[in-house]
Amino acid sequence: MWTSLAANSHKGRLHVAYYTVPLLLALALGQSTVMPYFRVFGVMPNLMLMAVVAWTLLRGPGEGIIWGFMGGIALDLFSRAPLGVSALALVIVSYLSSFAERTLYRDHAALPPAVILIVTPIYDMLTLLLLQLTGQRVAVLGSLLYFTLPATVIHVVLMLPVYHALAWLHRTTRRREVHL
Amino acid sequence: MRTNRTLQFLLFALASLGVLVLHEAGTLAPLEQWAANPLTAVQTWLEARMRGVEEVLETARDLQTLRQRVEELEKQNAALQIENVRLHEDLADYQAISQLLNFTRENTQLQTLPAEVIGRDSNTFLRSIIINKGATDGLAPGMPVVTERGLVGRITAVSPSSAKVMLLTDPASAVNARLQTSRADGIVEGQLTPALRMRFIPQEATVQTGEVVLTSGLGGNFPAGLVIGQVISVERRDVDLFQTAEVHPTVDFNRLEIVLVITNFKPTNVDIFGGQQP
Repeated sequence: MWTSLAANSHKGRLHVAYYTVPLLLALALGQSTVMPYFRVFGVMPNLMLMAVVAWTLLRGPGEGIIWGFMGGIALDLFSRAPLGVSALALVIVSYLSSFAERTLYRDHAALPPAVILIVTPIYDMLTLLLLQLTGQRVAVLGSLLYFTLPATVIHVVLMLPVYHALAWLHRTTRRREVHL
Repeated sequence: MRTNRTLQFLLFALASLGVLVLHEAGTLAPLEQWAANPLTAVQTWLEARMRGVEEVLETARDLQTLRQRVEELEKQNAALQIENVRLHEDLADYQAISQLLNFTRENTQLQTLPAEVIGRDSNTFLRSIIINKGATDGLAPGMPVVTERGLVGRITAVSPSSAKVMLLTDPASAVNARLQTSRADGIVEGQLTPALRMRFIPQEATVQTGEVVLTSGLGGNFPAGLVIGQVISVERRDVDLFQTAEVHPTVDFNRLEIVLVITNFKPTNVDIFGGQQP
């Protein structure tokens, strides 16, 4: 019986991987090739950050952190940043977002924009810190003012459509549980 | 029975012959005219109706033909629009390539390899592009990248089929530069705004707005004489050791499509890029 359960769980994870890997790669590719054309106030929205936060709120930290890790690696493949910088920042952000998922307000419509409002500056600060630590020269304070402030506003506005798109994916792909 | 039939035949044959004779003699003319009037009216009415019916049928046939024609024209229009877009793209590519070709003709000492920009840095805080040529094409870290308008940046990492190029506008970018007219040297650095900053210009230099900024070749990381931009403002304070100038880059970094990698230039030190000496 345990063997069967383990096999089922393994199959479930494989099933998740079927759409997770291509989706996250597509998001990272879009971030590098499409989003530069949609800059608002000189800032491009971070689709991956919004997707990871939304998925954490929908599925919990288990899958959210995996998304953060894989999405971050995919992002760094299209960046000059050392591989792992975005992955680490997204994993931390996903973990922090999961606290909101455990609250009583988990189904409140304002929760995704509220969470992204808090985690965008955290994500940017973590990224800048990691870039500094890995020897990249970045203007920390200027970047926070010049990019993070507008990016936070843009993310708050875009979070609901992103959340609803992923909520559809969540409903479509979640495993049905049968209670006997 | 047979006799009756023959009689009937003869009777009608004679009647017909008689009518023919009377007609030829003109005797039947008034009768013919009298009978023709109502017939003509009926005929006219019928003809008009038939024309109407014919027109309706013709319209239906025309409608079918017109629909087919409209469909054909729509298809032709769509094909022409696609061709038009493609030709515009070809024209833009041709213009870009022709300008790059002019650059290579004017700078025969430089061996260049054209590459297409296929992406931009996914990290908001870093300014770099990804090009579609890599190690298999002979590219290596440290190689300068230009367009016909001037210096773009330098390669920082290569994979077999692509390379990452740090742009001049990246805050980590620093290029030894020279002012074309005053011949003063300085260092052009990237900053968060689209403009560049030229620092360490000696106080005694007379820097004019509009002066062209070129690579100086000092430090050995870039060939000398590549255009960087134009001075848009100068900041000179007596208490400072050096002057600083804002430089507007000649390259439009938001519209980079095709770039040239200078392949025959050997940078003296590329350790800072974490790559190998080309």
